[in-house]
Amino acid sequence: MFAAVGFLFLEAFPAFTELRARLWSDATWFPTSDQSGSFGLAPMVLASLYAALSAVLIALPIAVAAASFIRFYSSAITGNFFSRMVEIAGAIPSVLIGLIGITVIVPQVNSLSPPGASLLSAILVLVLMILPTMIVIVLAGLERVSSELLTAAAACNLTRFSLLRYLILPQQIRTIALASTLSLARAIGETMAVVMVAGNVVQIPKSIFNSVRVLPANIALEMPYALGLHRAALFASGVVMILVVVAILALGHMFSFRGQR
Amino acid sequence: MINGSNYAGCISSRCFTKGVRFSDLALRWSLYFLAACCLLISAFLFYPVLIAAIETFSASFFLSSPSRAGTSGGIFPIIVSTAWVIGIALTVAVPISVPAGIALALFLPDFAWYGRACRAALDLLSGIPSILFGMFGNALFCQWLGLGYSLLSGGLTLACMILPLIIRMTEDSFRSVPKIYLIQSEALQLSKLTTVLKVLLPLSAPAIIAGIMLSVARALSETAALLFTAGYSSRLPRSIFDSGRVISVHIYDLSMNVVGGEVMAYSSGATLLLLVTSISLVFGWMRNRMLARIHDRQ
Repeated sequence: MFAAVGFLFLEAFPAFTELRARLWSDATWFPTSDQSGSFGLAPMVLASLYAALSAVLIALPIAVAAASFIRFYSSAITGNFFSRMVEIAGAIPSVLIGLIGITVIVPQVNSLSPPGASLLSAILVLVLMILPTMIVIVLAGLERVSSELLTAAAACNLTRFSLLRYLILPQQIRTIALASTLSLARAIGETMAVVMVAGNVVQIPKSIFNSVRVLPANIALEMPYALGLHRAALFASGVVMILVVVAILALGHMFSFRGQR
Repeated sequence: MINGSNYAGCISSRCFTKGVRFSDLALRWSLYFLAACCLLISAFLFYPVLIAAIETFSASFFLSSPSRAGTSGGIFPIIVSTAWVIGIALTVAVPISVPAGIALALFLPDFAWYGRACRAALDLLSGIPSILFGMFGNALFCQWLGLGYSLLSGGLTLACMILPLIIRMTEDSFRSVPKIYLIQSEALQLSKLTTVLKVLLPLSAPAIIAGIMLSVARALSETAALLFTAGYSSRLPRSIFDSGRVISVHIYDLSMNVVGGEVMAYSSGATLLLLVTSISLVFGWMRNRMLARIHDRQ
């Protein structure tokens, strides 16, 4: 009840301010230059999608490998140490990762190809951010593997690799899907870290080295000085973001539910 | 607790054939290599933070105000603002969310559709990106209620953000009290209110408190939400209606808007990291122990 009310409030307010711009948002798109009044959301939505999807795709194998490593390949002490590290890594504030990104990652990418602040840096930073949660979720899934399965596998004299590949991972698809959806939602909404490293130029990225501006970054940068229609359009993009994130989270919820049945 | 070699408890990894096949060997060694790489990369990434911390931490750093646009001086007003904002957030959030969590645990079970709906709504709420909370906070607190950029609106927005977290943790703590207590209090014919107040609450209180502190750690890292609600001012705030900067916003400002501000950004970052990590570690560990202790108490 409580949460539902809060939810409605959340959606109502931005939409409220945006209502005046409803007509606008359909016909035209977001700030390529807001003086002339063009409001093209497309470059930013695309950039967000590219960055978030790539980050999840890259982080997924790493997370599965890391979780398998912690659970099956390391001794008690090492496994414990690594899982602690993962927990700590998950608690790191996004600004700090952004700071590290801007001072370490961006110059490195710069040496590869001139604008250091680019889609690539954004993707790398996003990977850093979503990796800990992904690992935790996959790990939790791996913990639920039944001990009978493991006993049976040992009885069949299976190597760990076969165990993983043919038995456990197919079982874990649901958990992995859940991890991916949650991380995708997180990656789309991630503002601070991306704002600091992505270059924030409104353009459709044609190469991975182009500077981009993601949707939440746009809100963060323009909000302080937006007035009237501009502001309403910002809120509109916020509504779009909410809808997308909620849709993704609902999808993820379906995954975890089916698993429990 | 995760036990790396805990294959069904009684089987150690040595029972498995060790690398007769190439794919198994390859996977094993690449995993070890990757693990080592992870350690190296993390060390490499956090090295500057550590250096900055060692260089600039001192009493004057924590007690003086930023000067020259923040490239020198200390972060005292920022610490004060941060404390205020979090204080406000807790004052507002805790009295609402702890009872809500208790109510959720008691009256809205998992098997009923409204219980599941409520929990789903909470999950969704906690998954919403923080910047949207910031926008919402701005629209609601700054504009609609006319509070402007102030510590108060920042605190209120933050309260909205940590609300689902605390509710979740309270509910978990409450849920983890073993059923035997409920059965015993029923056997003693205690009223439900007495059961809740005298039995369940004291049992789960430490876990709830630890959960609240964990939310504080989460709240400390919030930047985007506070950017639009508590403002940018780096002076000492004179009242809760005055604008103030929190540590995370300070880091953001120093690294994005101030030329040569990286060193101070690192120092502030080190402060933030220290705070967040210590709170998370200490209270996370405490919470696990509390929950385990509740279980063992029977």
